Order: sequence, then structure tokens, then C-alpha cells
Amino acid sequence: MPHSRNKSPIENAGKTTPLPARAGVGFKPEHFDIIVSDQPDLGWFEVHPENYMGAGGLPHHQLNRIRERYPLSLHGVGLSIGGPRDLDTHHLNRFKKLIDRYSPASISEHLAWSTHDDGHLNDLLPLPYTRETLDVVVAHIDHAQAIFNRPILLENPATYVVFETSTYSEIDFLSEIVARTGCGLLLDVNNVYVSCTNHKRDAAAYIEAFPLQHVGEIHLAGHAEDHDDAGERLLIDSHDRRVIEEVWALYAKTISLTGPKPTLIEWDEDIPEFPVLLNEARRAGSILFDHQDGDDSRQNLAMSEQLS
Amino acid sequence: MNNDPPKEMEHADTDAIAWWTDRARLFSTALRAPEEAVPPEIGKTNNQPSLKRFNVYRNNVASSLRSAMAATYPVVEALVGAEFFAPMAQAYVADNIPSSPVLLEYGESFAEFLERFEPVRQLGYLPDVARVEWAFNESFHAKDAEPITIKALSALDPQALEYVRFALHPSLRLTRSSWPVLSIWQAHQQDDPAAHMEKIAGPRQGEAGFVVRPKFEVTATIVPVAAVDFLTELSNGKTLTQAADVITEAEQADMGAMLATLFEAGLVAGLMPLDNNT
Repeated sequence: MPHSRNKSPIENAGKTTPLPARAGVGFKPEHFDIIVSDQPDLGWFEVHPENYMGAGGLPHHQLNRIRERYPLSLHGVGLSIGGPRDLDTHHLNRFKKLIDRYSPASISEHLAWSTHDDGHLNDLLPLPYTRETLDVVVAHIDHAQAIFNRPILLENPATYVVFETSTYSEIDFLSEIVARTGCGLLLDVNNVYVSCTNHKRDAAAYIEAFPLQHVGEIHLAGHAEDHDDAGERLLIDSHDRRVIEEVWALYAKTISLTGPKPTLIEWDEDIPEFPVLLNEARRAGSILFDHQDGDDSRQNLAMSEQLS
Repeated sequence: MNNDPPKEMEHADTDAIAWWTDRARLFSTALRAPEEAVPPEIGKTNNQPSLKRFNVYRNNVASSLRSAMAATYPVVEALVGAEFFAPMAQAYVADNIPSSPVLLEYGESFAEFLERFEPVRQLGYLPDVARVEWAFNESFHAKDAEPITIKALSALDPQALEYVRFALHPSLRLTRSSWPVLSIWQAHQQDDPAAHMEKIAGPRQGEAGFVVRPKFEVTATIVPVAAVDFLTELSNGKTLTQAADVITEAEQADMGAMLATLFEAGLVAGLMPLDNNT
């Protein structure tokens, strides 16, 4: 569906069917066969677009099959929206081609950066929250939304360090970005827990202060636990295990404030058998069901009844 | 989603960009140099910058890129062992950060790196094994195309046959090595690579062949060098007749069998019989 370039992303926002307010999971090729044969009752799937920027072959075949049955979310990890350099136009255009090819229900990226000189460091690096970085991030989101011709969701990061140069809180920084770009937010509840623990802040208070009216998607994941040089707790956003109870509690609190929101279980390392992942999604589905009265309630009930 | 009216795109001012560029470079430079101190602006615990906290980012960068290399070069990893592969991949990663966030395109220069990497100097076949794996990687992600059968060729009249050019499959990658690298690669696609590797042991023998992905699965095929020479000519846009000129008369006598093999492998995606540029 071609869009005219000179319309604002916001005007076009309604033309794409949004993600259902149900639980979804990250699609992993290892799970393809069981997904196709069992057709699990899941709300949607998410993938990293960078893994589908090859020209053809099995990855696109699989993603097509998934897309035929489920809504899709493209969750970028490589735009480097928080980096000092202009966004990579070539990469943006490849991203746009995937958007055109798969008509995703949602497009998201991170408040983070990854560029170094001419290279790409392949991690989600933190940035100081200042007037200068705010200007840079806003310009980059404007650029991405102009190319995509749609608003994106921006995810709050999991951080291990803070910058003494920061003059904004993370929440004020995100709120300014939303006000100036019209983007939405992806609230990663595990990231909130990880960052707040690492920086000795109150995670529940963070959620309460978050601009929840702009949240279009929620992420949940497992994290690893370590200690820093001073012996303080240091949580690492590892996406390699189940969501912990404290994060489930924080998620339930979030949903009680926002109502049902599309919720993803992220599991990217030490990938489990599919039923383990599905069970995590069902648990999210049951929490969504507890807090809703809209169209999605019947489906979330069906999911929660299968919770084993 | 907010409902602000449409607005002009913002551009960051040059002072803001310069402010962040300088600081980001300090951060990323420290990130890439394990012996360097934590950048000065990083928050402190008990008045000490936390090296361990900063090292989470160092580890993430290094380990994610090492994993990407292991994913692209599983046979090289199997040949040297995972414990040897990890520091070797780390040495590569340290000097070759990706030029784009698309990691399926990362690691092309690994074969050249292995040629210069002293600890594997005696494993002469390793760089060419890496080349086969890179060919596999490219083939796996190449553009889709439907292979055609040899019937399309036999349907041509003799004159058209003389001038026909081949559209080779986009996933076709040719390979030549003075080591049996395709056999090594094939052995590692089996359940028991060691048993298959034993069959390759013996006097060193070179191999020529190709990898191709007619649909979703990449296959490796060993063929006479003449067939690869012939395919090289075809891939350069030569006609069937011109391509046949590069191989000996004896080999030309087997042309029918050779063409049958090539078509069966699915590496021909089309014929261009009516090209006027001959």
C-alpha cells in the first residue's frame, strides 16, 4: 500500500491494523516446524528485521508462513537511533523494504546506539540524557518515521551505567521524545527492573511515572544476576531464561494501569523448547485477561485456560 | 500515540551533534580497548567508576560478534574445536567490526584472516574451508529463483543452441581449492563427521565444485575442474559455444553428461537464446 511521503506518520497511523492486546513471542527458526504444525493460539510474533535482510531463501519463506497466520512486529536492533551519526540511509531503506513486504502491525527500535566510526558494535549502548542527545534522537526518529511513513515505538533500555553528564531523567527524556516526534513507546518491564535494580531506583515508581498513555507494546524477558566491583547487585538483560516473579508482579501492576497491551516474551539465547516459551506467553495472556473487558478478552481467556 | 498536528522534521544543530560525537567516540573507543579505563563521565559507586559494569558492554559486543562468527563458520569451529575457535574469532572480531548491523553479511574476510593467523599456519586447508562456508552463507541468503531442467536446452534448435547464454542461479557459488574442502564441508553435514573425515584422509587432493540452493537447502557438489572453468565462462556471460572453448576436446566429448549434472544440481535458472550481442 503506497503512502504519500508528505503526510505525517501520525495521519497514517490508523491505516495499519495494530498488534492485538494479546501475548506474542519472538519467532525463532528452531520453532518453525512446531508453529506450522500446531498453529499455537498466540496473538502475534516478533522478529529482528536485521535477520531478514538477505535477498531470499529459507528465512523469508518461514517469515511468510508465519505472517500468513499471525500479525507481525518488526523490532529493530541496528538503527542506532541514539548514536551521534546520521542514520544509515541504506539500512533504513532495507528496513522499509521489509515493512513493505510484510506489512507489520508494529515497528519498534531502541533508545540506544551502536555505531563506532565506520562500524557497528552490535550492542545496545547507553547514552547520556541531555539537551544535545535529545536533539539528536529526535532528528533520527523523525528521519526513520519519514522513511517508514509510520510512527515507531521506542524502547526504554536496560542499562548498566549512568552518565554524570545527564540532565534529564530517563522518563523525562522519553516524554520529550514522544512530544517532539509523535512516536510511541515500547515499555520493556524487564528493562525497568534491571535498570532500576542496577541504579538503586524504585521500579514500581518508575512504572507509575512512565508516560503509559503512549505505550503501544510491552516486553518481558529473563535476566542474569551478577555483582559489580563494589559488591552491588548487577542485573544483565540476557534474554536467556524465564521471566522472574518480581518482573511478573511489575508487569501485572503495569497492566492494571494501562489495561491490556500487546505483550512479548523475548527469549534470544539458550532458546528453550517451544512449549516452554508458549507457557510464558500464556502466563502473560492470563494477566491480560484479568484486566480487560474488550474484544480480545475471549482469546486471552482461551489462552489462560491452557496455562499449565 | 499522541495527536499533535503534523510537523516539520527536526534537524539536530551541529553543536549538539559535535557534543555527543566527541563523547560517544570516547565511549566506543574505550569499549574496543579492554585495557583502557572507563570513560570519565560514567557514574561511580563509592567514588570508583565500575569497571565491571562497563565491561558488560565490552562483553556483549565481543561475545555477540564471536557468536555471529561461530554461526557462519560452524565447520571451521568443528575442525579446530570450540575452545580454540573462540579466541581465534575474538582476534578477528577485534580488528574487524561489522560495517553494518546486518550480521548475516558479517565475516567475509575471515578466510584471509586465517591465512595470516600464525596459530593455524599448519592447517593449510582452513582458509579454503572458510571460503566454502562463506559461499554457503551467501548462497543461503541469495535471491530466490526457480531452476529449469535440461529439457529447455534440448528444445532449442541447433542454431539457437550455438548462441545460447545461461542465466545461472543467483545462489550459485563456484569453488576451487588445492585441498578437499568440499568433501570436508560435506562430512560436517553428516551425523558423524569424524567417520566421514577418515575417508578423506590420505594424499592431498584438490577439489573443484560449487554450492547452490535450488529452493531452501544449500548443497555442495564436487565436479571436474573443467566443469568449474566452463561455469566460470557461462557466469561471465559467454555463450555455450564460447564457454566450451575453455575446456579440452576430451572434456567436450563428455559435454552432454556434464550439462546433465549441472542442470540436475539446479544451477540453471534460465536460458537466453535470442541475445543479439554475440
